[in-house]
Amino acid sequence: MEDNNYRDDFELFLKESADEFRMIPSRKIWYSIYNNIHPARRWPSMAVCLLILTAVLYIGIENNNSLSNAARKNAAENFNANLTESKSDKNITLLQPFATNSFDTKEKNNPTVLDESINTFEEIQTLSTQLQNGDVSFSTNLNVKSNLLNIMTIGNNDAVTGSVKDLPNKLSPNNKLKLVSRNSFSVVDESENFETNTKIIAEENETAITIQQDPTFEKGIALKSKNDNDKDLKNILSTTEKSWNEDYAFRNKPAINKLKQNGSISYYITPSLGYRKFEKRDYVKRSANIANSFSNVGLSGDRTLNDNDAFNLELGAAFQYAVSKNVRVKTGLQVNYTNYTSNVTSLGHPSQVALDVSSSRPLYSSSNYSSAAGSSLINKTTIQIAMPVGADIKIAGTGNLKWYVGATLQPTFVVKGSGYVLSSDGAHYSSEPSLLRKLNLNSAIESFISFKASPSVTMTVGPQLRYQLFSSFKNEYNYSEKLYNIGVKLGISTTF
Amino acid sequence: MTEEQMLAGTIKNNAAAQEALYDRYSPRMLGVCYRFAKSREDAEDMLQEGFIKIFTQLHQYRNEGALEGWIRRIIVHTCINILKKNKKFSETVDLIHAHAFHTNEDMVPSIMQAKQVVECIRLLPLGYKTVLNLYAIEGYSHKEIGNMLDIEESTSRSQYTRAKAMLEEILVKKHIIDKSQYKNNYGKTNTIK
Repeated sequence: MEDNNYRDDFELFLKESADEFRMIPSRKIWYSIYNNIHPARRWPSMAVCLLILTAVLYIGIENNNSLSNAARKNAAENFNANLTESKSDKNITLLQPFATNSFDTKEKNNPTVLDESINTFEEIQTLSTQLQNGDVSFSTNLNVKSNLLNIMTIGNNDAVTGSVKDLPNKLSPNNKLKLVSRNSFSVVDESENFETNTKIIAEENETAITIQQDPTFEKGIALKSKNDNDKDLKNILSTTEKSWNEDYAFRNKPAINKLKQNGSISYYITPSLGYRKFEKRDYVKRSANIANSFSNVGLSGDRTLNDNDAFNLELGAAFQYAVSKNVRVKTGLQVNYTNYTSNVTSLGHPSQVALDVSSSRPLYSSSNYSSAAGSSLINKTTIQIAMPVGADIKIAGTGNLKWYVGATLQPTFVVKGSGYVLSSDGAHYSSEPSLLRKLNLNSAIESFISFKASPSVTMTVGPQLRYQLFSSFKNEYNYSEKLYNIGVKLGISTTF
Repeated sequence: MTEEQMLAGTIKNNAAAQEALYDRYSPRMLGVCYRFAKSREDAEDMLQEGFIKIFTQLHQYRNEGALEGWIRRIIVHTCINILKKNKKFSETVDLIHAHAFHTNEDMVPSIMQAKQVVECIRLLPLGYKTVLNLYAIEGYSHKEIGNMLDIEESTSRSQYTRAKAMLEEILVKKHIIDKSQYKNNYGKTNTIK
């Protein structure tokens, strides 16, 4: 910026005027600037806002609770209002709504009725004396209202004036005046816990006080002690809450845990006999150097290869859930041991053999056994872990004895296996676990009798057929082997 | 708090020093912004943005010249940047705007002199007002104004000439100045809240 030295008077005037001009910005501008350059300090203000909000919410909630407490208190007071007898043993002056002309509270059996008004000094004096003697006691509750009560006489120049404040000095402190309206008080005998139906009405500019009975009171109402009040309050609350609880319990029964009611855990074991279905695949690409010499062997499930069935075992646990009266679904985990055997002849020395695979080059493996029947036995085993998923349907039965049929699909993982495969010429067995398919799928059907031995224990027994849906070997191997088992499934189920 | 103390404290991000600096210079700077802005709210926005820049860039102040002058330059540049976001400064636009503009005595209320003058300046079309503010009051050259507003230097000169004539006409009509002597009727500085 260069200083303009060519200013004329007008420009100078403009500059001077503009430089003199000032405006006071609003404070919020500074706060905005401050928050912008001190962003971290925003948090205390936010914390304060959060605190204030929390406090407001808390107060609101507490007020609502107070209101409900007040409602309960009203209920308690209404309850009190129904009480008709005082629990005090003392004689209490009970003022009846029958007017007499005397003011004598010593006559307990004939309750004294006060005159409607006291106009003379003597009457006032008598009243004061009686008040002083405790026959009829009044005291003031200064907290109620500070009204001046002028006690004066009519027709007598000796005016007796006094204020409400003076009365307690002469009166029993056990009682108090309870403000009923602006200028009237009801008399409460605090020590007797008894509220009379006597009212003192004092008009500010009047020269007399009026003592009369409140027509709304038919009889004295005993005020319960604080402890009694609390006890009754508790009783009321407990009764109220109790009935509410009972009603709520009747109408709002707790939700039943369906999982526990309909679910159960089953443990089972299935000893079985296992065998295989063996057949040759047809694939496009074959090794040109491998001769197909199996045509005379007959491999489709017969025993020409000297295979024998063997002991298999299935162990598992399943979760069952009854979706309806007759149907339940199940899933779980099981371990399968599969096996079948082959009578073979031991070669005594390893021999390299070619395997019939779909790759362009033959797969060679080492063999110790000839497939010709001999005195040796090889076990074609696998260890599998499966997750059966299926359902059972009740066919018949009621009560403790029922008949079910069920089926499952069992995704299976082959943990390990012997992997015995035939050579391409069918003359040798070679162990080639690399050709084993790791993932497989089994299917099973079963039928079983279910016997409910106890409310929580059910036993099952029945036949089961399990069949392997895919070949034990990978597709590149030219032969397919599918295992199957037939056994008896024994199980025991327990509820939760 | 002296200016040195304010400066040192502000650079150290001391809130009290920053507030002191703001309190000292914000009234005049708001006046600067008010001359550029369309309304007081716009002026306060300009002031806020300007001071944020000042506080974040104060460490670049090299004590070359008065602090107020440095602050003022930042404020003016901030005002221009904000105006440029919302308006293109072109001769064509301003000419159209200017030709449609007519002064009216009723447009300027009777107030103290400084504010009167400023209010009269604010009555000018945006382009005129900006160039006049920058040249006559802030002291920028037409070349600098051209760079700031992305206009030609000649445009700045012509804009200023027209702005000056128009403002003079307004001030004379309002009896704020005497045409021949440029004298004013009031001699007091008015601070307005």
